Parts: sequence; C-alpha cells; structure tokens
Amino acid sequence: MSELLTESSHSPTPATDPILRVSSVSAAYGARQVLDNVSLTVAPGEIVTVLGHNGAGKTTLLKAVFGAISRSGNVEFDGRELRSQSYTAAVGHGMSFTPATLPVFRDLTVQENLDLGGISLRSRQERREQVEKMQTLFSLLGERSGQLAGTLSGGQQRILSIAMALMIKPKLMLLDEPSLGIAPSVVQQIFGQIRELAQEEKLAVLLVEQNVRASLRIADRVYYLRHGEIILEEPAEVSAAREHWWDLF
Amino acid sequence: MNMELLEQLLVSGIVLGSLYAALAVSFGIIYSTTRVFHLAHALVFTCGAYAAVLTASTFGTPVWVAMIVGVAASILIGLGIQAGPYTIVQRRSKDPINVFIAALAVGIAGTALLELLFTASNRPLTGFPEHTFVVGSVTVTLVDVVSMVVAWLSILAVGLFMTRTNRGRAITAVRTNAGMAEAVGISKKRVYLLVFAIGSAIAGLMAQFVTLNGAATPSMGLRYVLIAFMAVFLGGIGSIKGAAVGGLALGLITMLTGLWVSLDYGTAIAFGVVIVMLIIKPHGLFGRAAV
Amino acid sequence: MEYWATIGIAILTYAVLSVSLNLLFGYIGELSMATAAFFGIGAYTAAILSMPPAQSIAGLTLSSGVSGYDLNPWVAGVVGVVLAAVAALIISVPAVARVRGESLILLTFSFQLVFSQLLTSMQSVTGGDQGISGLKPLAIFGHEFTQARQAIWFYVVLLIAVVALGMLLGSSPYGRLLRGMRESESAVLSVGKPVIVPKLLVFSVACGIAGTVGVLQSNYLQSVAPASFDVNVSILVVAAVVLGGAGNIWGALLGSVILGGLTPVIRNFTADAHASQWQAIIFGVALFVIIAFRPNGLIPEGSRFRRGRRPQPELSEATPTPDTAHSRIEVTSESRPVALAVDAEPILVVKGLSKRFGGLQAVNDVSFSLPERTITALIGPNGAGKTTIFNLITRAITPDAGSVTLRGADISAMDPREIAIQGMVRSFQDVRVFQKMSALDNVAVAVPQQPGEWAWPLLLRPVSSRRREREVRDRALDCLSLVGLSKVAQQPVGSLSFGDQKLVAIARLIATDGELLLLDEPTSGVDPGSVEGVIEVIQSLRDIGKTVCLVEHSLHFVDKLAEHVIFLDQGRLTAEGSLEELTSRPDLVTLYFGT
Repeated sequence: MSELLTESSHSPTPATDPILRVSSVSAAYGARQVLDNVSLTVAPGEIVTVLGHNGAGKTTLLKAVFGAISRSGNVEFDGRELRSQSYTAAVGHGMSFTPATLPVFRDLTVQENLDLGGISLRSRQERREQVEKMQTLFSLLGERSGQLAGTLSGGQQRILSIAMALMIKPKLMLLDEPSLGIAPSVVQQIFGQIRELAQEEKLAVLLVEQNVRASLRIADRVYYLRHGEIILEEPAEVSAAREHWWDLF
Repeated sequence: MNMELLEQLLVSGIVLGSLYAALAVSFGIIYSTTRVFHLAHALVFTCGAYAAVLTASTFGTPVWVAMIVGVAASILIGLGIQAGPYTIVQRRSKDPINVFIAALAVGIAGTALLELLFTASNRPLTGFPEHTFVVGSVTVTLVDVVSMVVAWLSILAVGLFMTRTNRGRAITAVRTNAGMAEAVGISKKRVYLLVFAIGSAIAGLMAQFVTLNGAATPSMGLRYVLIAFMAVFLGGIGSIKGAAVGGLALGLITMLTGLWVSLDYGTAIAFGVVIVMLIIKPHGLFGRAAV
Repeated sequence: MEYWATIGIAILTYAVLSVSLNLLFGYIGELSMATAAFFGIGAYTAAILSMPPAQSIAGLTLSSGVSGYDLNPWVAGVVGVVLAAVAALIISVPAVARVRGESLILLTFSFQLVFSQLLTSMQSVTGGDQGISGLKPLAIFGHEFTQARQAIWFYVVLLIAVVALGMLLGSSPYGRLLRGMRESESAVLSVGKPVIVPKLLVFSVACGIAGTVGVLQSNYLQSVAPASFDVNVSILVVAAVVLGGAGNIWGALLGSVILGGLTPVIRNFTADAHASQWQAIIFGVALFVIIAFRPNGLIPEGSRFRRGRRPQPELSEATPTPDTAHSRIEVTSESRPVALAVDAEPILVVKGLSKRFGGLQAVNDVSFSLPERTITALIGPNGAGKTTIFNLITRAITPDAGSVTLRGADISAMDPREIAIQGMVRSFQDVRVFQKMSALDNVAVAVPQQPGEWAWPLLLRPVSSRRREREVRDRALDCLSLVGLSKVAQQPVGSLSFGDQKLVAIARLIATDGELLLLDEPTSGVDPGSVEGVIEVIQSLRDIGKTVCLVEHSLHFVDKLAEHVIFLDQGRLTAEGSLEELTSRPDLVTLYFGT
C-alpha cells in the first residue's frame, strides 16, 4: 500500500494539551444505543479521523460532540466543559460542524451562505472580513458569489460548506464524510486545503469518513468505530501500512 | 351585471382578503419554519378576542387598551402552546402527525373550555370610533379601513424583518435547512419561539378587528384560521408574498360569489378553487418543489 | 338493556368508522378529516332516495319539505354506499396528484366543512338544520328492527364483515403493494408496479365503509341530521384511531370502545348542558396525554396483534454480519471482466439525450449504446449528469430531446412503470427499500404477474390467488438466495446493514425479470467489509444473462467490474472505452482521476 504514502507522512504531534477531550460519551436514538462509552482526544493542529461503516455511529458521534443531540458523558472543549445539546455554546467557543448531506443553504446565494456561516459572529465588520478572506482562499466563491448554492456542483457545494465552517475562525472543525459523492480530484483539493489550515493555524480537525484512503492521506491519528464503540486507536502511518481494514469495521 | 353590487363586493372582498392575507402570513411563518400544522392557531386567535372583550368589560378600559391586551394575550397563549404541549410531544416523537394531533387536542380542549367559561353567546367589543365612508355606491366602515391598513403594514413589517435583520435571516435559515442552521450555531428553539410570537401577535391583532365587526364567540377562530391555512397552501409554503396573495384571492373569491349565488356558498367555492390549485400546482402559486 | 344496546351501537359505529380511517392511515399513511362527511353521504343519500315524495294536505307540505324518490331502502342503501365510494375521488384524485400530508389534511378538513355547510344551506334537498325524519325503519322481508337491541346485530355483522375485509386485504399482495407504496412510490414504480389505481381503490373502500355505516344509521334512527356528520365526529374518529395506533385494527377498536363508552359516563357526572364540553375537554386531554407519552398508541404496531401478519415458517434467526453474506454463485473475487466482442444488437440505444434545468445544461447531447450481457460503468465528476441520465432514460424526468430504444422498441414516450415492465429497471442511490417490510416481502413486491394486487381476484378467485402467492414467495426467495440473503428473508429490512439493504434492492430488481439493470452507485455508503459481496453479486448478474449499467465513483470497483466505461463531464459524453484507455489520457486524468 505504499502508494498511500505519496505525501510526506506525519508524525503524531507531541502530546500537547488536547483541545477536545471526549470522555465516556454515550448516545441513544430511542431504545437503540448508538454510541457506547466513546472517548477520544484531538490536539490543536492535529487531524484525527474516525473510520467506521454506515451505522457504526460516526455521524452520531460528531453530533454528540457538537451538541446537536442529547448524550451522556463529558465533552471538554478548549478547557471548557460543554453541556449536552449545547451546540450554540460550542459554536460560540469556536467549534464548527459540517454535515454530510445538504451542507449548504441551496435557495440562498453563495454570499448569503457565507454570511450565515458567520451569523454567530458579533461584529458585522468581522463577518465581512471573513467573507473576503474565504473568497480569496477559494476563488470560486468570489467568482460565483451571486449564484444560488443549489446550482453549484457537489464538489463546489462541499467547498462552500467548508468555507462556511471557517467563517467563525474555528479552533476545531467537525467534518462529516467530507468526501461523500465528490470526485477524487476535488477530494484531494479540499483535503489539501484542510491540511494546510491545520498546519498554519493550528486548526484541530475531527473528521469521520468511510473513504479510508483519502482520509489516511491527511490524518495524523485514526480511531476505528464499530457498533458505537472505539475499538482501536493508532497513528495514521500504521493504518496506512495495513493490507486491508475490513476486519476493523 | 349589477355595477354597484360588483363595486361593493369588490371592496368588501379586498377588506376580507386583507384580513385573510394577514392571517395567512401569520400562520405561514409558523408552519413553514417549524413544520407544525398549528391547528391551535385558531385558539390563539379566539383568546385574543376574548382577552380584549374581558378587559374592556371588566376594567372598563378604552378600547385600544383592550386591543393591546388582546394581542398580548395571543402572544402569551401562542408561546405557551409551543413551549408546553408542542415541545413535550416533539421531544418524544419526530413524527409530524403527532404534533398535529397535539394541536388538535389543544384546540378541542381549549375551545370547549372557552365554551364552559363564557358560554356560546356573543361577546361584543365596543368603543371603537364608528364612522362610515361612502364613496359612490360603496360603503365601508372605519374599522374596515383601519383593519386593512394594519393588515398590510403587518405583512410588510414581517417581510422586512425577514430580509433585513439578523434574526429574520436566522428564521429563513431554519426554514430552509434546519440542519445547517444548527451547524452555524442558530438556536432552533429560540427561532421557533420567535415565529410563534410573531404569528400569534398578528393573529391576535386581526382577531381584534373581527371582534369589532361582530363579536367574540368560542369557535370563531377555526373558520378564519382554516381559510388562512388554505391561503398558505394556495400561495405556496415558505413564501410570505404567496400567503398574502393567497389570502387576498380567497377573500375576493368569497365575496364575489355573491354576484351569482348566496354568500353562504362562498366558502364552498373558495374550497373548490383551492382543490383545483392543489391539483394543478401542488406547490402553490409561489412555492417551490421540496429540495 | 336498551340503554346498553344504544351505547353498544355508538361504540360499534365509531368502530366501523375507525376501521375505515385506519385503512387510510395505516396503509397509505394519510389522515383524513372527512370521515364524517362520507358517513353523511351514505346516510343522506339513503335517506333522500328512500323518502317518499313530499306530500301536501290542503296546501301544507308535510315532513321536512324534502322530496324523496321513494326507493326501496336496500336499493337506496346500495346507492348510498356507491356514492360514498365514488365521492372518495374528490379526495383520492388530489391525493394521487401529490397532495399529501398536511395539504391532504387541509383538503379533507375543507371538504368536511363544506359538506356540513351544504347540508345546512341546501334546505330544500337536505332539510337544513333539522335534517330529514320519518324514514322507513330497518326491515328485512317485512320484519322491522326498530329497537336498539335488535338493530345492534346489524352493526355487529357489519363490523365483522369490515374487519374481515380489512384483514383479507392486509395480508394480500394488494396490502403488500400498499405498504411498499407507503414507504416509496418511486421504488414501486421502478419495479413496474402500479401506484395510482391501488391508492384510489383504498380511498374508495375506506369511504365506502364509512358510507355503509351511514346507510345503516339512517335506517336505524329513521332520521338524519347535520349534527351527526360534522367535523367533531371526524375529529373523534381521528382520536380513536390515534389512540389505538396506526395500522392497527385492534387498537382502533380499543380506541372506539373508550370513546364510545366515555360519553354516557360523563353524562352521569355533569349537567347535561355542559356534558359535550366536558367530553371535549376530556378527549382533548386524553388525546394529548396519549400522543405525548405513548405516541404509537395504546397497542404498538410491533405487537402480535398487528394486522395482516400471517404466521411464517421460521427461518434461521442468525443475524448476518457483513462478512458472511457471500453469494452462492461461485465467482472468484479476482475475476476481471474480459472485453467481450460486441456481436449482438445493443440492448439499449440512447441518441441525442439532453436536459436543461433552469440555467444549467445538465445533459448535453449524449449518445451511447449498451451491448448485451456486459457491465458498463458511467463515471465522471460529481454533477456530470450521471444519475440524471438514469432518470432521463427511465423517464423519471422528461428529456428535452433525444430518443431511447430498448431492444429496438422506442421507449421515449413511456412512463417509468411501463419502462420497467419492458425490461429496464433501476436502483437508487439511497436504496429505497421498504424498511418496515421483510426482505422477502420487499422482493415479492417486484415479481410480475400478481393478479392479487388488484384486490378483486382475492374475493373472486381465492384458490388460484393463494396458489399464485405461493409461487411468488418462492420466486422471491430464489432471488434472495442469488444475493446470499435467504437467511434473513423474514427480517425487516430496516434492521439489515446498509450493504445488505443494497443487496435486497438488487434482488428486487432480479425479481422483475428485467434484462437491463441500472445500478446507481451500488457500492457507495456500503462498508468495506460488505463491498466485495456486492461486487460478486453484480458480476454474477452478467453470468445469468443480465446487462448492467452502473454509476460508480470508486475507480477500484470500476476496474473490477466494468468492461466498458463511459466518461461524462458537465453533461457531455467525453470519452468511452476501457478503464485503461481512459486512465491513460492525460486530460481526463487531471480532470477527474487526480494524481
């Protein structure tokens, strides 16, 4: 599997204080236990990926951390204890969330989408600056600023959704299956951007994926989630060196 | 064709249509944002009327004070229904039918309670300056004129609020993509309360004018609110403009039937139009197919 | 005794009305607020038709002034039922034309209110607020049944007949079709099954049932009045059905017993003038409590009393893990597609296909053909139009231009269902299997030639219907075996893994006997452990003579599966050939394949 190591491999970041510490988090949908005692950490500048198949609880995990669903256990973000279902607080403290499907407001323009991405920012000035910054970072957002987001291609929408998340200058990005339905070359472009941001701005990233190869290319550490439980944690190169991962799912 | 009758019915139709338009907008923002088929909106409407009547008769306040109390009562009841019964049900089940049933239950129980407390007799609201304008063959009262102006001002205010303010944009976000609205940190709970407050306020406001024109009765709300529902579906969900146009259209249709048949059949004809529209254009005049 | 019989009749009336609404709510998932209106249509029609013509004595008109037609009450009754069933079209046609959910609730609400309005307004026909009285009593061959304790037996017989009808329909191919429709109409159409007529039928049956008890009531009470058929009655019926739980006939009956039995109890405690208000308050509160704390009703749908459950032969209870779902057909996982010499006529020919959505040209003059017994892959960047092409050739959407021929026959003018019957069937990216139904039922829906789907044959030809049903189930089991899922045939599909659900969807397509299978992203979302199984199944499809065209993003799988690859970009067909040929082109590499 050496072709996976085309980019320079990352050594796991030294154990700096994690910006996200998830401890013994469990969540259920009605009678169904979806997450069972999950613990993980993410350090500033680190890209952590959680791999698991459909139904393993990946999206639920992100939503539990973000605070969009009720959960038990502890989530500590940037030194603060977050309460269950407190996503507005999470956003206020610098956590962004990008859903897997419908990640943009399709009936609104690119510009309006970016504005909404920054709606939690206090100052209008700050929001305007961020919008400009995003349009510079991703040129298509400037070019298509007045276009309805629903008419963009899947890859373009994904780029917009990442930009929306970046509007609040997050300390931690939660990404749900960012490669879903996107052509490989666009996936590479997006993941490349993310990795640059992680390195430059010490942005922590927690992404859940099914696309093993693409995520291992940029991740520092990997967790494997199966039936709602973390069954393994290891550095990305170790995972990348495996013959196959199917018995881990 | 009786020209004078036509003119009178046209004006009456516009007056009625303005009332329907405002009610449609009031229901429309609640429904399109929260997707709750808020049948108890009828109760909110009726309580606004009764609160005004009670204030005027118990405390002898000037009529405009009573009207303000009426609007306040509507807001409180509307918020109470959302924060109480609806939230309780939604916490337990995601199925929209369940909230509809809850709305039905609140409506049934609430209306019956009003009947017990106030009996089914009419309670009028008096004190509004009485004046009648006569223009040519058309007669229209001051109450009607004020109600029309207030209705359209409310609709305009809501429209501006939605496009020009942050809170309004947050409402639009929740309406079009609740998942993303959460993702950018908008509090869905607060937005829901906000739309209920706005919708209930307008309903309460319009209830005042209906009461001034007639009287408060326990079941007055259902008829008006049902037409408001029809107008929203006619005009397309999610469109303020659509709801307003739908309401105006239904008002005109209801009145203009008087040219040919007894006004009793006005609602029946309006219903027919709604059915035809629902078949031809299931998403309403201005609505868009679900994303 | 008479008192209890009267209460019994009230309960039985609600029970029949609840069964009627339950047919709609349970099978189609739609709530109608107009049950009382159809109740009333039956009652009033029977009344008006059986009434004698208005008599006048010395210039004064007797009875309510309503003029009847003096028909035999039984004939009048039949007309009443038929009229109710036909009037159902007023709500079923819009329902079929996409008026759903709250829009349909609103429609039925409006219909109910207008019906009540017309009853009071059209005095000369209906007797207005007073209604019509003095009707002929309930009678068979001259025997009159005017007492409650005599008439109640008619109600009992009616309820039993209606429940039996409901159960018969429920466990039939028709019921299976309805349950599938409830979850995904597009999936039902995509396997060549009808959607419109079954839906119209269930509305008519439900409204006919309501009309029948209306006829009975008009004859028993010998009168009709608007108050018995107003919106409050409709609401109470909704309450009964909701209390019991949707789709659950026993629950609906329990709900009716509670509601029907509550009224006399209340009357014991309060002044009569306030009784109806207290009744309403109690109903409202009870309804709220039930919906808040037991939203599935008193008898949940999963219980043993669920309607339509036939005892099934117990198959193995083993829960499959993705790894063990292997195809029975021996195919080595390393087998690669060999480029076949394209000899025969192509099974599908697409010419000049185009489609524009607003400002976006989604598909631009695309032409290609699919050779028989091959696997072709449609690849390309996201937004290139791949799924749109599937939608266009199966006519799920209408193309702006272009023609499509299947085995030489022009299918450009057909609808998705006809195209499926012609032999081109498709799967969906989001699977669209019927989650609440077993895997076997999912596949059985797709088996062609099931007369039982039209409902009549169940009654007219019970023996051959049952035989055919056995054949259908055997065929469905075969298809499940082909994808290696025979062990989970009885399991509800919703409990299977996503990968297995995709396999059920493929089994469903096999069951249609369609020759050309369009698979939309068959491996996307499937966990890496199950993917090999899906690939094997797709390869085996070719071996049993099918032609496959699939949309796929993962080049790894395209490599394993497809002899022929079509590359689409921004709606245009940019390249065609084998995967090696395409990946060796530098312009495509930059565009799509990446480094």
